[in-house]
Amino acid sequence: MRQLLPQHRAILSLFALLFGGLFVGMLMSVRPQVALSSSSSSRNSSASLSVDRIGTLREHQQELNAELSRLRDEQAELQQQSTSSQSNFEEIRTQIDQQQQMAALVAMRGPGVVVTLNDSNANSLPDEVADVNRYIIHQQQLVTLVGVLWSNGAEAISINDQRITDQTSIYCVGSTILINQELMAPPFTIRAIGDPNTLANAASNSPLLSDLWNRQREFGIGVDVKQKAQVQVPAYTGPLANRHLEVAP
Amino acid sequence: MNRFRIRRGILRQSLLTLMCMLIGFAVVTQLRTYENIANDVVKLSPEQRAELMISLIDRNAATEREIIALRQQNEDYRRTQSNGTSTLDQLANDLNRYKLHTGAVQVQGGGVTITINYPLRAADVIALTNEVRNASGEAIAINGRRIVARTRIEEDDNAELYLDGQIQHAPYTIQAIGDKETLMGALNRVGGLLRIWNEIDGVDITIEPTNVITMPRVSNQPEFRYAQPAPKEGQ
Repeated sequence: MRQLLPQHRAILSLFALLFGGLFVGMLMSVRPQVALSSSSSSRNSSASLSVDRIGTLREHQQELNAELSRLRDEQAELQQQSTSSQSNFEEIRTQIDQQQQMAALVAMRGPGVVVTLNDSNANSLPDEVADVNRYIIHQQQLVTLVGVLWSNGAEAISINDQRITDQTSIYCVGSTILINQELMAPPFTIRAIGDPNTLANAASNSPLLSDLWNRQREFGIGVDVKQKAQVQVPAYTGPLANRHLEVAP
Repeated sequence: MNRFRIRRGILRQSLLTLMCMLIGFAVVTQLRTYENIANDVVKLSPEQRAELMISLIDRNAATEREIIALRQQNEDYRRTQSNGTSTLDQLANDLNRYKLHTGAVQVQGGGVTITINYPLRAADVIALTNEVRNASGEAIAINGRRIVARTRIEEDDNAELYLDGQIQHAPYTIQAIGDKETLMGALNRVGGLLRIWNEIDGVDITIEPTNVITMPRVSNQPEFRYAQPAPKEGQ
């Protein structure tokens, strides 16, 4: 049999490590789930047709978002070039930078908090009549949490990979959650930049969030609040709706 | 000397293993997210799937419109740069486009006016602004005050409502700029927040289309004290 060259051996061991890592990662990421609904077995052909269509629309959405981001970067570059050549454009340059950041079009970082919300880790519902809704994260809890963080001085917020803008809606269709019209699944990681102490205190103690913490105690909903020296939130990558909106004269 | 080399080898391998484990964890978590979303979609009713499809189709159309507009704007920048004419107008247009969303400028447009004669709590108003954004409202004002992402919506111990520190009383006038028909339909929908408040809680609510709504600029736009632009990837 032919001897393996050292570099082949290195590649082989790298693959072994990667697969080993994948396997361990898989084990680590498996967590008990609430047995929610058995309706998934009632899938028929027309259902799978619309499920496929939704999948295609989501893929197209990702492509469009990528193109939009690319064009925004290109525009920022062109604005930069246009202003760098003339010193009297410095003022407008500063304003453009500032307003782009405020409009959530720039990825930001700074101190803050990371709040993680997850569906209940209960292995099964206590009895047949228990309400499944109490064991999962809903639109309302995300909306209120985001509102509480803004009210306590958050300067930028994201949920998973979606930046929260002045037009962002958090919306439930059945058991799915749409944020910026992007489908999301738990766990929800909410990142907020601001004073870590104030934000963590608000997320943990605001009376507006008492329902969330009650559900954690009673039904095992996952709620975790951590202060961070550095949090990063992505830029908004969706469209800015202004078909009906204009600057008033 | 040899032992040192072996130790370094072990260290390197351990690091590699750890890195692979992390990659494995990230990959699987990502796959599980996709799988979870797909499972959620399968569980939806045909009506809910249709709703989801319409929402995605609308969104993609809006993104396509902005892509076309940005291509044109970028082309204009390149043209003015190459022929040496001033780009100040273009820069001012871009700046205004951002200001529409940050509330740094007075805005106007058609939309709807909602009147609610009931003492709302802070959580109600937070839910209401989300509902208006769901209904594709492009800008919101409550009692003549522009509401943007960072607007502070709070209440005191007596359940009095404050918007950016200013006390507000019922009746509340909520204005939303956007497509009138879409807003009317979405805000009046069965099972929507306003229908529930009206039909179940008996809250006195009216919603009317409005031809021209003017909203003032935000009273103050606090500068960032903690957030700063993240360095671009690869820098």
